[in-house]
Amino acid sequence: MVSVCFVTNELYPLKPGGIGRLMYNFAIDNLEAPTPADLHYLLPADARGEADAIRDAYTGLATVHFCSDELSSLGEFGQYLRQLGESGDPDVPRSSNLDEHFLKSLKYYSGLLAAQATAGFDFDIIEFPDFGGWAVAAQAAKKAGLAFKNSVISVRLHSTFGLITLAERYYHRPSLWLSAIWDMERISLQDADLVVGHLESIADYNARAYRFPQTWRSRVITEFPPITIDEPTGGSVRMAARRPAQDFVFSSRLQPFKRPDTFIRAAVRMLRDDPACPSLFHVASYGWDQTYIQWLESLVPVDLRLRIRFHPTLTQDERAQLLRRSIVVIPSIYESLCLFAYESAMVGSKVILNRECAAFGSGPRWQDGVNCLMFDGNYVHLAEVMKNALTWTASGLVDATPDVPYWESHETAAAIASTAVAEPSRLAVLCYGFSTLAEVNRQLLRVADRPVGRSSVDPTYHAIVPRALLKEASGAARLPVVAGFQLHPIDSWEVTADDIDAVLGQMTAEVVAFSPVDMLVDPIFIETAWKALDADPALAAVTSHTLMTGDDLDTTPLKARLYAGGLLTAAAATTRVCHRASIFRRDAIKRVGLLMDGGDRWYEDLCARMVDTGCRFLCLPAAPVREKAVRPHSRISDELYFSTRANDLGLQLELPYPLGSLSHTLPGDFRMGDAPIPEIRPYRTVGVKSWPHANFARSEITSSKGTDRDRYRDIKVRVGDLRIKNRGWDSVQFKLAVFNNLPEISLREQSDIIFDSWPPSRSDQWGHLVEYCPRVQEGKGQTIAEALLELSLEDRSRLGSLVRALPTIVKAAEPIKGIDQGAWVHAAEALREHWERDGWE
Amino acid sequence: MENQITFGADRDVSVAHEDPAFDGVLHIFDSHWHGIRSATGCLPGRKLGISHKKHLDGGELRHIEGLIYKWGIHTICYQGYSNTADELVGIIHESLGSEIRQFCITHVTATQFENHFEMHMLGKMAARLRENKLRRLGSVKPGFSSVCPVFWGGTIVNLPPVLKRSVKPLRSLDTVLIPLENSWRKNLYTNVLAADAVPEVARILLVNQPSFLDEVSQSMKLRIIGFQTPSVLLGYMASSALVMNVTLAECQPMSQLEALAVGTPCLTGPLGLRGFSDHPLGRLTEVAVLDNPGEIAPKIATLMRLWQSDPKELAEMIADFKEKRTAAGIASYREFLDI
Amino acid sequence: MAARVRAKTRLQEALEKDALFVDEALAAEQEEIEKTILTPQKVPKGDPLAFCARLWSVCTKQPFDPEYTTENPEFLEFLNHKGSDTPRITPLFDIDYYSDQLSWQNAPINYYLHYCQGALDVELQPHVLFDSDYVLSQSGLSAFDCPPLLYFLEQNNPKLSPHPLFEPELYSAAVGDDFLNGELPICAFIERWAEKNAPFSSYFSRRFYSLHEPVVRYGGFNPLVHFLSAPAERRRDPNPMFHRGWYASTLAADDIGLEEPLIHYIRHGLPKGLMPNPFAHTELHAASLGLPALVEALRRYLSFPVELTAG
Repeated sequence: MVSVCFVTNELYPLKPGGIGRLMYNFAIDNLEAPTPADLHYLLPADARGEADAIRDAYTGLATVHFCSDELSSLGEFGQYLRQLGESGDPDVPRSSNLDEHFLKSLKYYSGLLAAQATAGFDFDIIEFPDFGGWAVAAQAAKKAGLAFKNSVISVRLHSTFGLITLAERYYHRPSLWLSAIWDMERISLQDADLVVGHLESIADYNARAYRFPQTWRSRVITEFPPITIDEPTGGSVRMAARRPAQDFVFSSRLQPFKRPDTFIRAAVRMLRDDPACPSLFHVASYGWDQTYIQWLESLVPVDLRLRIRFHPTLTQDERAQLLRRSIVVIPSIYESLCLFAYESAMVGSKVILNRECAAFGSGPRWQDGVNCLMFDGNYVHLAEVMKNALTWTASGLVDATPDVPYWESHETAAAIASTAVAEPSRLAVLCYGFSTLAEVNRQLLRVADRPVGRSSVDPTYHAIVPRALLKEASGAARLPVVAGFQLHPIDSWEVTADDIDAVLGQMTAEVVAFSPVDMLVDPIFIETAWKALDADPALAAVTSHTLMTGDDLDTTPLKARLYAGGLLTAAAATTRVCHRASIFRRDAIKRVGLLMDGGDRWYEDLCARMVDTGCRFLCLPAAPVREKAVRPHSRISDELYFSTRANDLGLQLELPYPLGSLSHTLPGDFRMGDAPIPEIRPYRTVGVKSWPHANFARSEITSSKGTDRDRYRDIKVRVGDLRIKNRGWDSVQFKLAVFNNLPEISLREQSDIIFDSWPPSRSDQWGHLVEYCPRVQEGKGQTIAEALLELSLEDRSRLGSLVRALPTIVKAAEPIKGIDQGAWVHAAEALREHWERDGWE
Repeated sequence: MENQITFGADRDVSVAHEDPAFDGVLHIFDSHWHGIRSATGCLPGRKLGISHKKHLDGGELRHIEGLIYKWGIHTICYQGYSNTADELVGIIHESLGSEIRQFCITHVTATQFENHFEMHMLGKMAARLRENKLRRLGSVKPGFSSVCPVFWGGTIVNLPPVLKRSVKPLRSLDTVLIPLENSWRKNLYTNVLAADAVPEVARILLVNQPSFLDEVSQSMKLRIIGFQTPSVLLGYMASSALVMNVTLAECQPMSQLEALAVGTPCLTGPLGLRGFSDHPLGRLTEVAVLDNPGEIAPKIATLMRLWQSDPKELAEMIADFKEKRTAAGIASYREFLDI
Repeated sequence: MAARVRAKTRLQEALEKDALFVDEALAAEQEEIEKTILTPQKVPKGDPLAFCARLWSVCTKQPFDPEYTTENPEFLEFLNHKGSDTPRITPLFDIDYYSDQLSWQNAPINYYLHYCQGALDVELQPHVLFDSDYVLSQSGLSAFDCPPLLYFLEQNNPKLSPHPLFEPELYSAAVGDDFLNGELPICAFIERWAEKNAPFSSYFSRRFYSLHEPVVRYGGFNPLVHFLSAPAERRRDPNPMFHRGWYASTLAADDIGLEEPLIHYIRHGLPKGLMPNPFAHTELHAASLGLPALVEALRRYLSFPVELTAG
């Protein structure tokens, strides 16, 4: 039985989202497979809270594993990683700290090791999503022979963050953080044993966007995944609506690339063009960016708020009901498949799709006018298509027959592995950086103590030693070799690029391991890296993470330092490409060349230029090297170094600079290129992240006791400037204060109220209540009715009981100063009417 | 972390001699007493570091018991004694019985009784001997039984460290290393003044500052390298022509043995170790009058000249000395521990 | 099969309601079985009665036709012995140990039959050295496919282990084939342990354990039985390098529950590279390179070759 482990952070039914649903579908589909696979899911540590529920849901379907924050399967390194995860690296500002990404990848790697240990065998297939480049550490471990020797590591094309950001230009603030994700995603796709896509068009899209060569494209297999819907239906279903739907629904996540704004604008246009149009327009979804959502809300003119409605907290059942009685609009500019579109079609809903999206417009499955309607990407056309949709009937089926999943006929890891290299290469260890004879001798003693070697090959050892030291030593100036060390005298104390170059020129070894005097290298690292270079001719260098110590390398390390390997972001804007004891293919160094310009940064300069020119690096997910925490002082300042690097790359900017935004200016392999180019689109991309009123509320908290950190304290706030996103009844008092124009309110400790900013215009999606509430007409902010309604709509089941409880609430509110009893009566009436008319129950 | 017991730490086993007869022997030493720790590090057998600064807690005692069992330990040899060690002697005797044979070796001289702690500890050792919980008390100071008659009559001989592969270091033949603390007993100033007086010496490397010496002597040869970890210090020893350790009272200085391990001779006071003080190397390196630079300088000059005239002879002398020392060391331990 | 299904459902219902009802459910089923016995009929394969008959047959080495169980007078005679009167037909079913786990003593029951009724659901074990969950984990079966003890005895595989702390191959090699004489190693271990004080687990050191358990050192107590029978809080460490208390209260605190820490470690902790004591991490130089090497190092660390090779 083939075993497959999916790494995922979403898993239906515990979390919404297409990937989670897909994972579930695999499990269901697997039950009926002729040769079912042994399925496993690995979830991140933060999902442990729901472990029992998840395991219950997957009993008999699959085994669910969770990563652990302990990282114990990484040994000592894990301990230091845990510290790093908890405290971060105070030396590096967070905005340019790439550790977070590597940590995530290392956590999944550690989780996989533990999951394999629990299962008691190695997984045949380990599948990562492409998002975030999480596969990088596990892939490196496999390449280095540390783990997963018998596993195929595949990456599934869902949507990389890179592609999403391409589709959301101007929405994301460019940062190193962002750029590093791009790089990692690229590397994980590039190094995958197997890439799995759902649609040919999307595989092409990825290949173009990442400028992958044809060889990569030919490695991508595409297979249509199983789609299950909660109501039993066949593989293909006629799109016959049970009764003519006249409402429209947008139910993708509220993110810019899903284009909810296009839907809203089209709805507004349709209603303006035809005020008698009977349709309602539902935005039935959720999002994370409240500012963006508020902006979306503000796109709806006040008078249309009864017609264009937001439903942020529908239950699954409610959402399903809404979808089935409405026409589904999916205006996304990018999707890798969009399960939701297929699911909707399969339950018989009419579906309107964006032709510009490669998953819809380029594929063979969706046919305009047959099994769906398509619009040209802009809202004007969408409004027209929506109007046509009211009378249109589908004449064909959408083909959603799943392909046989690749693991049922999977190639084994052995089949995918490249043919083994027969001859081990020769290795030279190059030591340098000596300033005393004692250091030279210590290095000699160390090497004598723990030599590196592989069965048939012993490395040669070289030491670059200042001539002054050799003169000090009796007769050494004449000695070419001491204790197995080939000595290379130099005439200055500082080792230059030319010195290194000259020694490299004299060597015959194919592989060179640098070993500067202030680094302590475990011989196992050299051996592992040496083997990895021999196994993969495409690799130029192997590095690893390190543990940092104080001045004495023999003492207990202080913390871990993570290195990036061949990430352009790191090469351009940090000095964390390779630690100084990394191992290189000698001809790769020769090809790029050592430059004297690099001064005492010749090594960093070399590594960075190797990355620029597309050299491949491997970074072991381990820390077998120690280095001193304080980096050697350099005569070339960071500022000078980075500005020169920027110049090298042809960038008109200062580094460290977020490179992720420079998709069209970067050289070589590193461009995120041929994705749809914004300029040729007939409409403008939209989305705002920083909204002028964001964070407004915080500054208005008047009491010194109240900060946003300890908002659970008893705090006084100015009522008029705040709005509450409430979760419970505690906020009623606050809403009453709003209603009654109380200037200040005292909130009790442990209140579950969360503050948010007050929007510039009232965000009353409950605008239809306005007419009932005289206070609103006076422009006094939220009304009691709104407040209560909002409360109840967050938890729909409360509405009925709320209406019934109103008399009691009114009574309870009496002692509050200034309560207008009349308004309560209005509120009660409004609620009751709303309840009866909409009949939510 | 520092106060934890440490079993088989790298630095305690990496330069040890190997002898299967010692597989069941556990040396228990104090992690904070560096000289004793270095000496123990060269011995064959298993190594456990404890701390005189901290009582052993339940988890540590449980672990020691497990280690004794797991490694089939039948003989325990305490290197140096402290209240913690004393407590452990009692506990092991109580829980594992007399099948586990316990011995103790002191590394002090009577000179050091100025520090009263040493006498308290000798008293405790003697008490444990009377209770039959310790079987025998030994010393690395020749003739220590004349100080405390309850001690074994023989002398325990320290072993030089073992380097896995011999290395011919790069040596500066005009450099002398003095890795001494600046204390009365260690005699730093005399050593410095002696080396300074020898014209063949161009550089004197010091770990500690000889404070105010500049008011007496204007030496241009001094270089302070500061406190160094053992592995770095070994590098310095290897690159010097001579290590100086002429102290006023000494048992068997490890500096001497470490220096010899990397092929460097070491000047010491009279050590009185039979078979070694009269060894050709012993005659070259043992100084009789300790507080007179004028008496020490000629010894330095002789050695410096020997490096120039016949380095091979010196190397052979050192190798022979090490070999004999190793044999004597192993024999003394076998006799003392009855194995 | 029908009876089996009924029992399962009733048991589940009972478990959901209250543990007290478990006994009632079992007793009710017992009654039904009694009725079955009184009226000879074919017994379906998955019926507890059929399981019990197979168990009786494999223990007494008497062949039988499972479908006509109720017509076998010797078996019926066997079933008639109930409660403390239940005869001992295999060393792996310890009547006293089993009955001690039962909360009621009113209705006399043949304990073998009771066990076959699905006692695993309520975590009853036939013997302190028989870990049903462990046996099932090696078999790929579920408790409802077959009572674990029956599976174990029918397999008659001298290499199959009934308990994580008993390694049949280690024990067989130490005592020799002559001593076993065709008997399952575990049965010989239970019956005739004292004749040869032989190693039985690479994680359980007899000598280390007996250091602090004089009863074991001097008496004829089987050390493994002694260890597992002691209340958890009074158990002594049986492995020199494994600190039970430390492990249970630190690394495994989240998921260990009432499981014996050493067993939890062997089955779950060790494969994940968890440390057996607070010093191991330093002593092993807990490699930063790869879990497999660490697990191997841990195995060596936990072993005590002197004792194992000495026999």
